[in-house]
Amino acid sequence: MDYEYSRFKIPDDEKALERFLEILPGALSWTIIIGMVVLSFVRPMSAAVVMIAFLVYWLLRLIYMNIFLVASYLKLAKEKDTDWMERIKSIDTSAVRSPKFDDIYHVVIVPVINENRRVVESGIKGLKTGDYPLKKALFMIALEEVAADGVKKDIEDLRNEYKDIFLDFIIAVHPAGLSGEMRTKSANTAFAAKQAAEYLKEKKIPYENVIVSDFDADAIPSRNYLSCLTYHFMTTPDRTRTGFQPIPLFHNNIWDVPPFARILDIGTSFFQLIEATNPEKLVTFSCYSMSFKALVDAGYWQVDMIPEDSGIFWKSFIRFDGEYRVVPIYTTVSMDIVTGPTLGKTLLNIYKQKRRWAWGVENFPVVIRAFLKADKIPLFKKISYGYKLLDSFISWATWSFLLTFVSWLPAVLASREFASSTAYYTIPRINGTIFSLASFGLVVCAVISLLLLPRRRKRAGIIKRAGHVLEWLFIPVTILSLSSLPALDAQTRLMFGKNLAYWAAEKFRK
Amino acid sequence: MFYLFLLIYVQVCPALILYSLGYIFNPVSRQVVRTGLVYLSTAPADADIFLGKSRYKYKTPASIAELIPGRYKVTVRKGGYRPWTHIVSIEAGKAAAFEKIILIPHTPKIIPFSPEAHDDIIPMSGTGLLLLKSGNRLSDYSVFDLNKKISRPLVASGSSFKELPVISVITQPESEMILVYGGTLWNREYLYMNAEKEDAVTQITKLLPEKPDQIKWSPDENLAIFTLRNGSVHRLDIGSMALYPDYLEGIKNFILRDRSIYTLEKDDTVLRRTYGKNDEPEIVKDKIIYLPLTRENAVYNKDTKDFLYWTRREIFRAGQAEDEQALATQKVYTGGNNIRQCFWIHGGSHILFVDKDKVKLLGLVPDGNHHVEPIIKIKRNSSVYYSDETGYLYFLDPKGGRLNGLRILAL
Repeated sequence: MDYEYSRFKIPDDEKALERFLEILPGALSWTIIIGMVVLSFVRPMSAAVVMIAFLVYWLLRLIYMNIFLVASYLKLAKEKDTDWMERIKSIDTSAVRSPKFDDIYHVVIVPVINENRRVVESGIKGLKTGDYPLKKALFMIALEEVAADGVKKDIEDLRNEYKDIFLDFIIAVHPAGLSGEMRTKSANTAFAAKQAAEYLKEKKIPYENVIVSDFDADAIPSRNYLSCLTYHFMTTPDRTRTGFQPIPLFHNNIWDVPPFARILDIGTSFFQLIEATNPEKLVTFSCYSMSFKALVDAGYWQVDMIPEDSGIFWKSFIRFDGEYRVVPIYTTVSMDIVTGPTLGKTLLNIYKQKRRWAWGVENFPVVIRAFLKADKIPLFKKISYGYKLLDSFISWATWSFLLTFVSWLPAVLASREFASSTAYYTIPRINGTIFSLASFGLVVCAVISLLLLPRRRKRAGIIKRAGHVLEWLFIPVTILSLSSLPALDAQTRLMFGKNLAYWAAEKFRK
Repeated sequence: MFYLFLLIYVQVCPALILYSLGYIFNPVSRQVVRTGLVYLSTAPADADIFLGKSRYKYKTPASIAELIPGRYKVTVRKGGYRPWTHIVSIEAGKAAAFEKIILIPHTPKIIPFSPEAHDDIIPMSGTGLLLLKSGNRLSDYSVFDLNKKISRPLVASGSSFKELPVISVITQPESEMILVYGGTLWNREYLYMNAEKEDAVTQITKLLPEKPDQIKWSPDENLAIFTLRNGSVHRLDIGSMALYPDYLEGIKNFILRDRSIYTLEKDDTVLRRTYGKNDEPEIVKDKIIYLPLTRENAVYNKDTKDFLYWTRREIFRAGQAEDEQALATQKVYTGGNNIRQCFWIHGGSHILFVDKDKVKLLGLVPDGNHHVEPIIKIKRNSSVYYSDETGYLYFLDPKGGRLNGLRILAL
């Protein structure tokens, strides 16, 4: 479907609809939070009953997610040592109608704005130590024109040092202030991708045979990333309408950050592990890969919107009338946990990053407007995806508030009528039982987090390792302040028609 | 898997909600019935609960749910304490809550605080002090510190007032000041003194040319005394030793609270004035304020926002009705002989009262069948004092008049 995937280039007759859809997620979130508080005051018994329904739903969802978390982790552990190059050799390319291995190329795009050499170089080294022949890979640094001279020099030095290991090493300098663009990562990578397209055209490399990977500047792909990706590319039917999502880990500086930062991003990895078990609804996140042909046909990343990872998924999904999907690949990309020079700056930076992630809600009105016009996408698919999109943002913003504040409010505000009912006494017991059962989920998370953690530079004693488990006890406060609150912030901004200025996370490593 | 969880949810969720509202499946009648529950909490906790003759698996505090509507005999027992029994009516969907049940020890542990004999106790509520009287002279009065558990004379041995015959002693809640009225028939005196300081005695006789009907002062501003005589309120400024006669006129009664003076006017309206300011008085509509203005013995409980007051034979509890214009009054005890003092205790769940020479404990329960337990005998015609801070009842033993303490709330 031809569709202008943009929040800003909207036909006049759709502006009202766009505004309504921008308001909807924030309005629903605030209605849920404030509504439950008001209900607790006005009708504490009803609020307590509604909370039971919510808590049972939450518990079952937690158990459901835990089952898939464990299954996904086991699969990741199993495939960690797979020799993908060997498996590639065993592919019958004619049977799967795949290009031959030798005809497949990679474009790796790494956007840079203020990252220092050490940060960017670690990603290059990660590729270098991998098992994939890098002479089939075009490495591109998407460098912002406004980057500091020191950064530009670092990148130039890197090019000089590493250009010979790749097919080519191109620095695409993204000019500032291009018309129609916001200053975002997606505008930068789109510019680089267009240059890559020109390069591939010159080299007569068909786009169908190219896989593009969009990495953050701090991303370090695992040793077998490219080989695993190539294998899945070759064996996926409709590969030119497919994206590929690895499991993001945040291990680069995991031991150098405060506990709350650590568990928050471990939680992000868990979320992606769980999402990987539901490939029908998987959406690209953070670092990912996709068919270069799909990228070109979809029109590249959107240059006037911030969420480039989810944005390209939705743009492609709509462009190809719902015939676009993301395949989970059980290999990892490791990134930095956002931090800062001081504890306060770390908190602020984490808040800003999560708010930027939550700004993916700006896709919602654009997607729904498209769905309303997309005759070729089955209705069930539209409802299913649309509901999931809305539900994910609303639950992100509201669940912590409901669990932390509203669950006990009705008992505290109990009217005389409620206080003399059986519900007043049984509901706290029921809630307590639910929270106790939920704590098992926390134990599962703590155990998986220990298994996922990389080895410390210095061996940690049993007390330190026990401390890592106990960090999970801070999850309620951490999630509330550094996950739900930023999500609510983002939705509220969208609700009031404000925009979010793009903010590039600072990367600090010891 | 998703549909399995959905199925679980649509079955578990309504079942839990119905259970929370009291619905259970009765396998005997094979019907869904709505049950009630009884909740019990005791001081001390960990008491055994008996429903009829069957012991409940949990100890207090506990709630016994899934009770078919009807009447149940509930008994709470703990070793060393008197059992507490009550016939509870269970209604569908309702909870009968018996919170803060005080268990009385079989043998109360009495702590002697002073070996001397005394005639009476004069409470100084909210100050951590007690006045003890062992004679009629000012030198016969001593101050007992509840926290330090020591006493000392009210006035210094060298005080010129020590031989003053005392007619009455006036105290105010939460104020360490005492007003002593005494002297000979031809030479009455008023002394205003600080119970915490032996030598802080101020003669204020000249500020009180005539005996007032009432004298009050506020703990926030104890250098200002208000008196009522013949419908006029006079203000005495102790600092400058000045009298402001007819500060207010046409008054039936007054109380001091929260830096304000509340007056019951001749037309039975209640006005509030902030003392020290000349603002227009504010009409107070809450009926609850009438109680302390019409009954000298009204005792306020800040937890429940109720008052209690009494006659010689009955005790009443009064609170604000839902309609603020009305007062909700309930008789909670009848059958007294000479009820002289009452105290709220344990968050307003019990009333400790003195009836003739016995101290009794009245436990208030939601269904109105309140429990009364005798606690101790005291010296005839003496007063007692209960301190929420220390948890002790202070009384004079019936034989020797010695000051003793009895802990009412076992921790």
